[in-house]
Order: sequence, then structure tokens, then C-alpha cells
Amino acid sequence: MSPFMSLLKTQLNINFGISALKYRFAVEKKKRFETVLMAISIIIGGGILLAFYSYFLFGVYTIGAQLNQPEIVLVVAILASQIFILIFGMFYLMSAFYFAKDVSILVPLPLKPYEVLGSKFAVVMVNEYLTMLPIIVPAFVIYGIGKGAGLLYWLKSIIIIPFIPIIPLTISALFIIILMRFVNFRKSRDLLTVIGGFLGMIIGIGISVLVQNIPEGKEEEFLIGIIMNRYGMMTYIGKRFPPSVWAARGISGHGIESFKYIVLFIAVSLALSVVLLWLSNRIFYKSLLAGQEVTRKRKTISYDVLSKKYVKSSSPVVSIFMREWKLILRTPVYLLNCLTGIIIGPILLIIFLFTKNMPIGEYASMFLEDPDKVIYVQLVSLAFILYVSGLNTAASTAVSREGQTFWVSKMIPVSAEHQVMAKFFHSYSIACLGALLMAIIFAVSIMPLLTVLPVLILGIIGSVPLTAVNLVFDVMRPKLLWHNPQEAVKQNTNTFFGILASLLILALLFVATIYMFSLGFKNWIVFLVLALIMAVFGIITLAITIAVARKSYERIEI
Amino acid sequence: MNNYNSFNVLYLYNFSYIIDMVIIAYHCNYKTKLAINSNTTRREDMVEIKNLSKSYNKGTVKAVDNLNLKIERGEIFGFLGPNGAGKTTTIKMMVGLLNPDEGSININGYDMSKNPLEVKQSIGYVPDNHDVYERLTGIEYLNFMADVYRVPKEVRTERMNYFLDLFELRDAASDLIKTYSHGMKQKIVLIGALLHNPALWIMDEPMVGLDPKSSHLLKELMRKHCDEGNTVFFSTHILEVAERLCDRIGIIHKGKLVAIGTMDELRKSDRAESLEKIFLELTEQ
Repeated sequence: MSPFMSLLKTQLNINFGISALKYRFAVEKKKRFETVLMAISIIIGGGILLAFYSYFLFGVYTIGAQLNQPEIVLVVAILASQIFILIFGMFYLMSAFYFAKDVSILVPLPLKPYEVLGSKFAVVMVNEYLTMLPIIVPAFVIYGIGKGAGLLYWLKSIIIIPFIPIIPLTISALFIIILMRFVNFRKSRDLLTVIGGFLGMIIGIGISVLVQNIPEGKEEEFLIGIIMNRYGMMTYIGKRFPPSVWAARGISGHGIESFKYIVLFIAVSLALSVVLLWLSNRIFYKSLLAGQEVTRKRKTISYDVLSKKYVKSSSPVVSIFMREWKLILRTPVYLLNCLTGIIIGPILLIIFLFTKNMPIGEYASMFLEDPDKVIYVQLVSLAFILYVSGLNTAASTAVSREGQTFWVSKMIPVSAEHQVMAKFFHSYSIACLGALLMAIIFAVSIMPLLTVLPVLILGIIGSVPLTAVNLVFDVMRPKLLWHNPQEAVKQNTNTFFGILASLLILALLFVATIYMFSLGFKNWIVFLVLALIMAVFGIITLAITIAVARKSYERIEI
Repeated sequence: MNNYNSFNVLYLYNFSYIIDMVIIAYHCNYKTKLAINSNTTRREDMVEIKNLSKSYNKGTVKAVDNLNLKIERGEIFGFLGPNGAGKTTTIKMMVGLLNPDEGSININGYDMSKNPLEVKQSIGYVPDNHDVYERLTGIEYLNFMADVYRVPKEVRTERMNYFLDLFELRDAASDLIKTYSHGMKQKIVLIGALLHNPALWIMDEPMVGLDPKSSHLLKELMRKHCDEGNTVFFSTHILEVAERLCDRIGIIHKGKLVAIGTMDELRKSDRAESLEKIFLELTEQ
């Protein structure tokens, strides 16, 4: 096997964890179940998403056909996937080219720069195919079946599809290797991750806002409106990103013209690839090695400064609490995923309250005018705060995040109960801060401060059992074997179990509230009973968590 | 014990004391028993391991097989053995990272299974890998270790300054550990383990990654620590270090202790001149 092929094979193996998967199936038989369960949930979740997406595409096709532009469905799908690849590919490529740990192994090998870059590029491309195919294939199938296309159409599709990610990805790659030649982003890696994470979040929220803005029952008119406003939509899009139109015209067109577009599309893809490989041979290693040379100005701390400014004494519990905060704030993946209560909750709340087509704010004001109905607004607000509090990833990954550093926790002379209490306080502080932020938003937007106050107090009491149930799963069976912090939070089944348990508690509280209303309880009694129920839940769940901690910490070996 | 008393006074004025008191309601009465160690007057052996066994893969791989070992106070004990002989498994059981299948471990007069926190307070452990909190600064890590071992502020200030100078880490102390080289990580873990002046140092391959100067300093520290009546237990592959530094040496092979004694005792029993020859002969089968 040629060195390049061998390199490519190894990179693909590592990327998809093929050897690790084989090992898991052959040796770690207990974990087979987890893998199969994960695969099934991905298939079911993906299937549902695909069904919705296909339904949307079908709508686009129908409208396109009415406007005598049925190929719009192809352009939309190709353009969507290409823009997606252009933006996200940049982040993938940046981390594959410049931040991968295997760089120090690969550079000293007798390989040409373009072989190293080419193999890494190919791996990213394979990943992109996996993201792109579910976006592209339904559109091609809908168009093909809708038009009753012949064999030639399907043949052309099979030729075109593999080339779709090449142009945007090579453009991203060229942009990155040229940029990295002049700017060293190595130091700002964490910042880039946070920016990438927020970008994803904003795009996600943007799409949901856009979908919410489509008037209900008038989706078709809405789409026609967009397409009509952009007269000759294909030309419009074509001006922005012509390759999408070349591909669509190549497939949907006939005769020589169609052939011309296909040749143009493939030729540009190949030409850009050649430029990339040629350029990478010239500047890839230069920019890569320039990035490695990180100079650091070490700061000498004098005896006095160290003694006065840096040496601080706290109790073990406070010290562990502070350690948890520091590690979460300084690890981008944790920052983005574990502060849900503080970040996502308030953002969602603002969207709900201020999106034009969801006049929640108006409804709330209507209810608030009637003193008898104020409690409904308060309870809905409380439910929202508790729901966000129940999504406490900081708690449901509290032990897992320690990973291989868990040896420190096993070795220090601090009991498991104390350590887990510190972790509880940490996750609980996140829930409380989130509750406070949301209460402030409520107070500023719809409710007077005095009306919000009981909601905040109940939210803070209710966060105790919700934090504890999230925490207990991770204390029981933490995921400590991971190589990337992402695995600790994103591929951790404990978060799922935590949310499930939280929803159960919320359902119980809901039933209790309905029951109290049916008995005609006064408002303040409803609040009091809810507070009592939550406090009792809190004590029970916390006691269970502490009891589990001792046994679990004893049992876990590292 | 003076250190501990002043520590308690400081502690009472600390806000965190209140939080601790709440938690104490749940459990734990060990705090009063803990003290900053060293120079203890206990008479027992520092380490007493009886019939210790540990298997992996449902008993198919016997990592440690009926190990018996006594280590006296004031001695440097070198633990040798080929790769996979059971050194790290034994050490991990001694510090509480692994649970033994059978047998008992007694350290500084405390039984590991009954008084794990007292045992841990007596130990300073340096593992063979340096998975530490990469996103804490060196000084934050040291403060954390001093907090969990309850080292009073004055004592920790003194010792941090001393060790940071000794291992030339002062310039890097305020940087994140993730920016450290392998050797620097080794040093920060080492300092973290020694801050509370534990009666027993347990170190797994402590010289690996250290530069010659730091390695020399560590060996001197080990000797000094033992001369003060404390104990050092360390594993190594560097036979010259073991030969020159250790008061006694134990050789483990396939989970069993195949030899133990001073260099002279080992030479007599094996009729070989150098530790290298003794080691090779004992671990050849």
C-alpha cells in the first residue's frame, strides 16, 4: 500500500473509531448494548428529522413546479449543503489541520506536505459526505420521481453528488491555510471553539425563529412569497454562489447544455483541489510549524507577591467548588454545554417573550390584569424556570468531567460525601444563577417584581431536587474514559437519564398543582404546598445522592 | 501538632467553615483526627501489606498475587520489576485508587479499608502519568492540594515558595498547567504531593521526565525526608538509582515478590555482584 493510502486508511480508522468499535464488540462485551442503543436512537431520531425535511422539500418542489422552476428544490438542497460545508468545514478543517495532536507524529515522517494535508482533507470530506447526503439525496429523489426522470438523470446525479462538497471545502481550506500563514490562531483556540459553538447556537435559534415566523396553515403562500419576491430565484442564488446552479442545471438540464454544466462543475472542483494540493506543498508546513512555535512570556512571581496575592486558603469543600467553576469556565466545551441554565434558558425566554408570532407577552399581560389569574402566569413562569433547571448538564456530568484526573479525587483525604456536596453546590449555583437571570427578565418584561419574587423563591427551592437527580446518575456511573472533553458532556447517557428524572419530577408537581386547584386551594396555599413538596423532594434526593456517593467512589477504580 | 492548632483558629474565621458544618451533619467525624503529618512518634511499621491480591479480567490475569510486605519508618524502599509485573497495581492499591480482591494494607498505623481518609492524609502520591487539571494554573493546583490536605496558610506559603524555587517553577506558577512541558507537569504534581509534608511518599517512576538537576534534588529530598524518620516508597526502572539510594529493595515478578532486602542481602542470596544481574536472573523465568 502506498504511504498516502496507508495514511488515509489510518486517519479514517481513527476518525470513525473503527478499531475501537471492533474492540468494544470483541472484548468489552458489556458495552455492546450501549453502542447498539445509541445506533438505534440515532436512526430513529435521524429518521424523524429526515421525514420532516423531506416534507418541506416536497413543498418547495410543488411550489417550484407551479412557478415552472421545479429545479429550485435541487438548488435549495445543494446550496444549503454547500453553505453548511463552507462555514462549518472551516472549523473542522482548522482543527484537523492545525490543532490535531497527531501533527507531531506526522511531520517527522517522510511524507510530502500535500500527502498529510490531503489525507486530513479527505477525512473531513468523508465526514461532510455523511452530513451532506441526508440533505441532498431527498431533494434528488423528490425531483427525480416528481419529474419522472429517466436513467440519464439518475446517472448524472450519481456523478455529480460526490463532487458537491469539493468546491466549498477547498475554498474553506485555501482560506484557512493562507490565513494561518499570516495569523497564528493557535493561542486563540479556545476562543475559536466558543465562537464556533455560539455560531451554531445562533444558527439553530435563527432557524427556529424563522420557522416560527411562518404563519400557521399558510406555509405554501409563505414559500411562494419568498420565491416570487426573488424573481428568477436561481439567477439570484447563482450570483451569490454559482457552483450550486451549475450542479442543478447540469442535472436537470438536457443535451449539450447540461453536459457543459457538468463538465464545468467537475472541472472547477478538480482545479481547486489541484490548487489546494499545490499550495499546501508550498505553505502548509510553514504555517503549521509557525503555529507550533508558541512563545510565552513567563511571569516571575516574587516571594511576597506569591504569599499575599496567590496563596489562598479555603476549606476542602469550597476549594472543590471553586475548582469546578474554574474548569467549567476555562473549558470551551463545558462552558457551552454546562451553563444551559444561564445561557440557553434566558435566550429561549427572550425569544418566547418577544417573537412577534408568539404573543406570549401579550397573553401574560392580559392575565396579569386580573388578580385571580396572576397565579397562572406565575406558575407558567415557574414551570419554565424549573424546566431549564432540570436540563442541568453541569450536574449530570459532574463526575464524568474529571475523566482521568479522577485519581486526584480518589486519593485526597476528603470524603466522597464532601466532594459530591461541593459538586452539588456548584451545579446548584448554576441553576440558581439561571433562575435569577430569568426572574430578572420576567420582572423587566411582563411582571412586577413582587409577583416574580415567589416564582424565584420556588424556582430556587425546586432546583434542589432537580440538581440532585441530575447529579445522582453521574455519581453512580460516571463516564471517566474519554480523550476529548466533548465525549464527557455530549456522549454521556447520564445527561439523558437526568433530564428524564427531572421531567418526572416536573410532571408530579404539575399533577399536584392541578389537584390543588381542583380542591379550590387559595393561591398562597398552593405556593406553600408546592414549596413543601419540593423541599421534601430536595431532602430525599440529596440524601440519596450523598448515600450513593460513598459507595460509588469506593467502587470506582482508576 | 502546633500547625494544626493554628490552622483550626484560622479555619474558624473562615466563611467556608459554615458550609462545612452543614455537611458534617451528614457525615464525617474525621476532621479532628487529621493532622499535618510528619515526625510522628508511632511505633508501628510505616507500611504493612498482608496477603494482598488483585486480578483483572474476571480473575484470569493475576496482577498481584498474595503479596506480603513490611516497610519500616525511616527507610527508602525501592520497588522494582519488569513491565506488567504488578508495581503500579500494588501502588494504586496502597493509595486507594484500586480495591484489593484480598488482603489488607496498613499505613502509618491505619487500616486502608477502615480508615481510608487517615491513610490518605499520611500519604503523598505521585503517579506515573500526569493527568492533572490542565486548565488550572500551577499555583491554583497547589492551593487546591493544600486546601484538601488542610495545610495552614503560613505553612503552605512557606513550602510553596521553597519547592517552586527548588524545582525552578516560580516563573511558570501563574500559567495554566496545559502550557507546561512533561517535566514541568511532573514537578507540579510532585510539589502538590509534598505540600502537606506526608509521613510516607509513594511515587511511581518519579524520575521519569525530570531533568538531571531536578532528579538529583528529588533524590536528596528523599534521603532528607527519611533521615527525619519518614518513609519513601518508590518504583523505578533505573537500577543504578535503586542500588545507590534505597535502604531496601523489593523485586516483584508476575505479581509475586521474588526478592526483598538490602543490597548486601540480595547479593548474598543471589551470589551476583550488581543489581542488574540479580534483577535479570530473578525475572528471567
